[in-house]
Amino acid sequence: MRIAVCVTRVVDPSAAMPFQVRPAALPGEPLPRCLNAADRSALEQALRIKDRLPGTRVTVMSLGPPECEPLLRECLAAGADEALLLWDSAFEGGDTLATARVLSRAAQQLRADLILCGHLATDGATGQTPLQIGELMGLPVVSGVVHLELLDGASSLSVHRKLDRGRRAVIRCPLPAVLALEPATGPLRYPRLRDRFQAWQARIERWGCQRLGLRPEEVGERGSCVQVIEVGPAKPDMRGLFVPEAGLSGMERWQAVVSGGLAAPAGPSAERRPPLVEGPPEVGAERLLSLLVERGFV
Amino acid sequence: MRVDAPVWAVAEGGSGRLSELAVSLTAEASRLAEELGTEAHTVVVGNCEDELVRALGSRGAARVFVAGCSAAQHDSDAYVPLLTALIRKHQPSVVLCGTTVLGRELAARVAACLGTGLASDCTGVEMGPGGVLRMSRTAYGGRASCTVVCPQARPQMATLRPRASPTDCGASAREPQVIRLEAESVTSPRTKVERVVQADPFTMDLAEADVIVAGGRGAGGREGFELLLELASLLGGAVAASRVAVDAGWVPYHRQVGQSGRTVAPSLYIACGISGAPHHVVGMRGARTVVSINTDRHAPIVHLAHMAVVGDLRDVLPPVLARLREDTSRARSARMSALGMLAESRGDR
Repeated sequence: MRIAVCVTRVVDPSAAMPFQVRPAALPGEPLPRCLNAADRSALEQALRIKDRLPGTRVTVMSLGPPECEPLLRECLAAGADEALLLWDSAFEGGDTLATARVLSRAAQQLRADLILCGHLATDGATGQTPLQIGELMGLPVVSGVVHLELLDGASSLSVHRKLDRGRRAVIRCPLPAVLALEPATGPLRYPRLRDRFQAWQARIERWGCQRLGLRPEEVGERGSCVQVIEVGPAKPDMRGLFVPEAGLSGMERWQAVVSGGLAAPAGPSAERRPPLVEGPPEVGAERLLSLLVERGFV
Repeated sequence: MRVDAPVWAVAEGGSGRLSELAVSLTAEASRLAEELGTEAHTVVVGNCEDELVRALGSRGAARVFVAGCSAAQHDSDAYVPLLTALIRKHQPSVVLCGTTVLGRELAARVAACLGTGLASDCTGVEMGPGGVLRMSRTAYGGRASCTVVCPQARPQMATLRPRASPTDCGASAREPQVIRLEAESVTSPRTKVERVVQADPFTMDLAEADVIVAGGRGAGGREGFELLLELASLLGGAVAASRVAVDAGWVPYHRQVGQSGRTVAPSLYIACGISGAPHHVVGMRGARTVVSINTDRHAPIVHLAHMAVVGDLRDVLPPVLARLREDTSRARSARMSALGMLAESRGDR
């Protein structure tokens, strides 16, 4: 079995973002980067399949500049058999669809039976690429996977998929297929020092437009439909700071501040008080039910 | 591209919160259509009741396509070819989808089929000059906001979070033209949903819960939490607790909401016997609707709640549970009889 794992380099989610405010732009100096968390979990699942099925070949591939090589070496150290860097100067500035074109072409050339991706990159957070890879290759695709199992001698898969309200769908999916995995499937194993040294010496192949058989106008900025025209600091949360009512006595204002606005006594804004429902319990139950119906929870 | 190309909203059929999303997407589409001087159309995937069609009409939908399908609700396989063909035929300028499990998947796959641009999880969309949509979204884990455009390719696609309160555009309300699409045009899916596992209210990740029923000292013990558990399972939600209940050993620690527990932001938070100490409140302030059931009408949580029922939860909850139980069993029997009729009609053929 051949497994292709798509990994990506993201801006370290724990790093600070020193934005330039006017004109709004990303910080000038390079941001700290790391391997995407969900992609690490995808690699771990591939390695677990390899542990169970001898003869499985795990290939990690990443679309990105040569600076991504250390991250690919991290994947090799963890146990991947082969790493591919998909890079060409024409690939620069691509949107999700242009990225999916490159990755799907590479997966096709590898003749992968299973393509595993992380469900979301923590920086771009679109979650579109795995779905678009599947669509471009004409393969079944399942996103939000939290558990997977090979069935009937590795010809199909049983996957658990995350739905809303904590529900899970159990899906049967034929191979070859594309899966987008959640980080909840488990963290990546810790590599041994010896494997790390070996990974540092491994050769990483680089595939560009020519090797993949793609035209430069299909990929990168020229092949993209979506353009980012503005990047800036996040818009602040709309919730305002609590300011106590000016007309209250000092004691009441103090109480209101200390309680964080919860114990604000009835002042001019008394009409903002919630509808209190008093009386026998049946009345309360009735009102509660009507609220549930009104807001669409029942 | 046609000048009068319509603006589309793609919504899931269903009731309750899903139809709320359908309505708010339609309202958004008709707002954009008005700026462009065109019509807003809505595509409903899944079943669509007449009531929903009327609601969509009152939000400005001139046409409603209903793509009914017997496939499982969360199966985008069935809808991708259908929606792609529909978009190719009618050529809308903008397609808006909801940020739901199905909506996200459908939008990404259809965009790939059509070779067009998509901005997912947008916080807002505005019409810019030349009919180019300016789509705002957050990136870098919420630390940055960016604006994206899709200048050339059409349709321009976006998935949207629902606006809190969609406004009713009463003036342009009309009876929409309804077009039902044949079920035959839905091809058989490649993946098969074998079953859907319902979440257990006591183990469900609180971050995933849409409804949270929380108990505090007022729950009085494990018996009190039995009531909360039943309410949570009837509403498809999770059980949570304040620190008092956790310290007393009534519920495990992973259920704790507050400063020393989890921070949650569900659509509905029902606080039962919780006074609302600041340490608890910091963990649930993000909830959209807060209901409190408490014997103390002066409890701090009352000031935060959208509805505050004064009373003991052991008196208030049983009648609520009885009614909800009744509703669920009635809905189930209705569904069973509908399935029975479907099977019969198939047998006749």
